[in-house]
Amino acid sequence: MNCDAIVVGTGITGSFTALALHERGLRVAVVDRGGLAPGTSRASDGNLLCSDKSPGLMLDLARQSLRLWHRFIERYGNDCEFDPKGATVVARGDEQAAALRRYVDSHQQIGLDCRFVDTDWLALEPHLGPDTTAVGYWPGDAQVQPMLACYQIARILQGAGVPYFFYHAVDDIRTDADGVGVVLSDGQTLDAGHLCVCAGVWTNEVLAPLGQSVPVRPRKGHIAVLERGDVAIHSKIADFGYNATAESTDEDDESVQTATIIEATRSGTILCGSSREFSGFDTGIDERTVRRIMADCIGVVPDLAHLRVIRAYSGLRPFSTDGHPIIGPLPGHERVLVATGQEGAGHGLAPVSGELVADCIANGETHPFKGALHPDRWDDS
Amino acid sequence: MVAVGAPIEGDPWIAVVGAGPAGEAAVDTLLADGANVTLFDEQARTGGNVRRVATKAPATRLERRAAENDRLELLAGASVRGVTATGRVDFDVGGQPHARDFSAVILACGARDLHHPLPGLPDDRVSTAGALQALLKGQRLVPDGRVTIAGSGPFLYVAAAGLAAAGARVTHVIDRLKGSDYLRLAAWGLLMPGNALELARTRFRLWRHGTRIVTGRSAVAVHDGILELDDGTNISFSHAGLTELFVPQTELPRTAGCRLAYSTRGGYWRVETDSDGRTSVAGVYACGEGQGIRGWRHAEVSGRVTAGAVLADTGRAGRRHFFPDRLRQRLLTRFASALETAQRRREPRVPAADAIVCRCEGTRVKEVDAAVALGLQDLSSVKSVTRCGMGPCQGRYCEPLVARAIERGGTPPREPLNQRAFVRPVTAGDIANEL
Repeated sequence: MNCDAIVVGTGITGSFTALALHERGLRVAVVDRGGLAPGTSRASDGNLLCSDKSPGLMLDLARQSLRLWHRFIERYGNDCEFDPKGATVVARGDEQAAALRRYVDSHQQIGLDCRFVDTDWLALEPHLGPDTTAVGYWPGDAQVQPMLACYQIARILQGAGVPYFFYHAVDDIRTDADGVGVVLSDGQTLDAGHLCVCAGVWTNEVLAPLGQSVPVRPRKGHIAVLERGDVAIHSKIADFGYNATAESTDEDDESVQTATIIEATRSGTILCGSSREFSGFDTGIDERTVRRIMADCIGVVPDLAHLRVIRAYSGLRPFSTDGHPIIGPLPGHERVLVATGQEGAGHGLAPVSGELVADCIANGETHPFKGALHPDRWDDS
Repeated sequence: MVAVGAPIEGDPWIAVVGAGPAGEAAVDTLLADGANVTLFDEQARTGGNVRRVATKAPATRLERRAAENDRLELLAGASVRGVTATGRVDFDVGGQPHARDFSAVILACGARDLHHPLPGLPDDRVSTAGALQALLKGQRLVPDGRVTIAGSGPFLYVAAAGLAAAGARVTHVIDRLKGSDYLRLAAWGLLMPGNALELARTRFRLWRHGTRIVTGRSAVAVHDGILELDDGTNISFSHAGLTELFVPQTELPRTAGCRLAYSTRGGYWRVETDSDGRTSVAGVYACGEGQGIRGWRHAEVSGRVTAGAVLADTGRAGRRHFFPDRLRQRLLTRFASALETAQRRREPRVPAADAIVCRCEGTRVKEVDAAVALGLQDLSSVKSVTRCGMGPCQGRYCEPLVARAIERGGTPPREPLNQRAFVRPVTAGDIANEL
């Protein structure tokens, strides 16, 4: 089979990459070694946030990506529970309130719609606990149901004739000046002009036949799911410590960091996160971590205590060692591109990641973030 | 009886989970060889589904044994939440969490019955025949008004006869299997007169009761107290029990990480074991219906054989000659396979598109079919895009139904649902307080 580009991975990044290539008129084939989005997207809560990023490149990308999410919904309809429900960041204690005020200011200065609320926050979130001293509110922050987003894109693309090869692993990759040949686990070969590896924390397994790797590591997180109940959660609720944890690039191999993030799903269940730790590719549930998450969340929203935990799961965020995604052609293999390293912001950054990859391939454009996102930024030369 | 959570000293203890026929047979064999046994059951009384007794009935044989024997500890009303590969059993008693370590764990978790998706369901007046039977045995609740039992296979007659004997007015038994299916099974009946006699006796009792038995027909819809059959007949009922198939309860083996195997014959996942009940996880064993639906007679035999394997593996001298049991086990397995083949052949090919597959989330047949049409062949993928199996029951009911949808797509399902932690829900506050 011959096409213009092969996308490996049907998670949110692979899905948006395939869509962006298809929208540019390229013939695309999509490969996944499992079913639909079997990795990190399936274990995600679908945050599309600006509130958790300090001003800088990551926040710029997140804003641009959120606009692309809106464009996606306008073009294709909303079959993925996309919901700009807003985000509420909670400060406890006077010191945190003062710091939160400065943080909101810094976002307002770059034109983000957000506000600092130091009275009557219960009108925003009626179940916040008594030690709340102030909240920051970002009305534009959004949530999406990650699997339904991947499913919507898969149906759009399959409807347009794009083949999906589920349950096919990549066994071998051959590159030459004209293109790339990919040998799948059932022996068939796909030939294409370009190969886009959107395999998140498993990127280096796919790149192994080329003898290449990128500095991405799995950073594990837990989510606990609470039953439907009488605790209304309107927006994404995070404690003010959340952004520091999400942005940290501390590679301490021992500790488990936790930070509160609480949200309701369309079906009425409540998702409680989060934790961050380095423990390889293990996805086992650590009950101690779940207990810490629950204690944290109950600290912010005490009424959660009487709801039952119906399940818990964990996933692996693609952590890049410098905290920035790794997007673009591999040094020495210009026809092989990667898009990974978005850490916990994969859903927020997926549309912009897909656009970047597609621009590199379709327009042969010079990479716009050469030093910051390009995979060659670790090269000595 | 040892107090819950008390440290156990001396000889190693063996855990048996499930006090049905398989668990009871395993306990007998273990005790006969001098082992120490802790028997867990979720119900307040022993017996499982087959030998369930009323809450206030006199002590059962197992309960008397536990009261008299220091080497048998019975933890009735204990919900086992999970089993680890190291032999730790996590369980709740009265809402309080406990954990214990064992030298071996035998899982004898039995089976549950299901029906196919049907337009008009769920309906308060319709449950499974097994649920009607459980209410009758456990709470002495006799359904009032006209009762119809429908579905597939010999269990329908057993359930109907039990209800009739207790005073229920069972007007109809509707069996998808035809007379010719039973004739084909009759050859096995000669080798196993017990099964054949049981069926003959229950059918005779139903005939005397005045129950109309309709074979080769099946229900296609339910509306407003009416069961509509595939030949257009309408049967009015006050209560209906629908049982099309039994599937092994594999939640606990999954928590231990035991490998499962998909039975294309039965259309369900069973625990992969060797002939002695050893699972893929050392120290964890599965017997009875967990190995595949073969009935309570097989469950007893496999309980004995599996307990023998545990004794051998934990280094206790014991009787290891189960030749008659193994022969019986093989015969019963062959019979069960023949029955499953017949039932599978008569299953509806295409369920109604609007019928509900997942009762917790309201997922319909057509939504599952759309996900399968995309090319998805594993249960977790289908679940993640349809919500089928995400509800409180965690796919207990719908997993075999989704597996059938994937089979309709032309291939057996690849992987079962992954078991996410917490089989028994506890409150967020209780979990936080365990810190």
